[in-house]
Amino acid sequence: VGSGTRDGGRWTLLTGHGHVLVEIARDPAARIRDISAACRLTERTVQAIVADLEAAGYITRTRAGRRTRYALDPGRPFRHPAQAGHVVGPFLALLAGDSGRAASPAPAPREHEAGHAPHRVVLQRPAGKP
Amino acid sequence: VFLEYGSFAGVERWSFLTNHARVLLCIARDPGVRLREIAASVGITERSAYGIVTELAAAGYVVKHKDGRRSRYQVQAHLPLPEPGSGEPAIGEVLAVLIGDSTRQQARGRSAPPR
Repeated sequence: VGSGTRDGGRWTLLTGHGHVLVEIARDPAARIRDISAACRLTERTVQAIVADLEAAGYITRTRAGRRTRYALDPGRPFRHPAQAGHVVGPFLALLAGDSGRAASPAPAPREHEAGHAPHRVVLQRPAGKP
Repeated sequence: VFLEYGSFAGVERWSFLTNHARVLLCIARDPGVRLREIAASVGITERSAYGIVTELAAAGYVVKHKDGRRSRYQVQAHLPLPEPGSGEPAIGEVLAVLIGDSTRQQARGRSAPPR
């Protein structure tokens, strides 16, 4: 997990996963290419991160024509024990700017729409681990 | 408890915050915190914790004062985040969100609600 350095040795506070999630909070219709440019990560890396975020339940992907839209779950917790008890919503709202327009009120419609009950994962654990 | 979040032996394959952020949070929570406590909370060695504190101080985010044999730290909350890209909030606001809104803040008892 992050040594805290990206961009050639300059340290940051957010990891690549953090930056990608913030970008998605800013623009739920962002393309991989846009996220890649904003976060200074390769498109390939962004793809992998988006897959991680989806697998862990932080985002849900919906196809809208040729575009993908993302819905965030602001109620999901941070992952490190040192942040136990904190959920990502307020953090994303702050970092995504816009007084949190993007992040906090996200999930309302998607519960009923489109027939895919967002797998409100009962906090999954990795396969095969006790 | 932490296993619930899909971790393996308490170590996540990925997370949102860097260790620099976690160290800074420790300091913001307790300006008199010891390196040993930082290391334990973040899950890194004391040596790494020391290195990170030094980098935070070099970048101006933390000012270190000697207080007898202890160090006390002061977070420069008004500084912008070190993240590339502008228009982001000051570091103090981000730390406040990460410290303040815990739904089950342990070990604090029922203190006054954070403002």
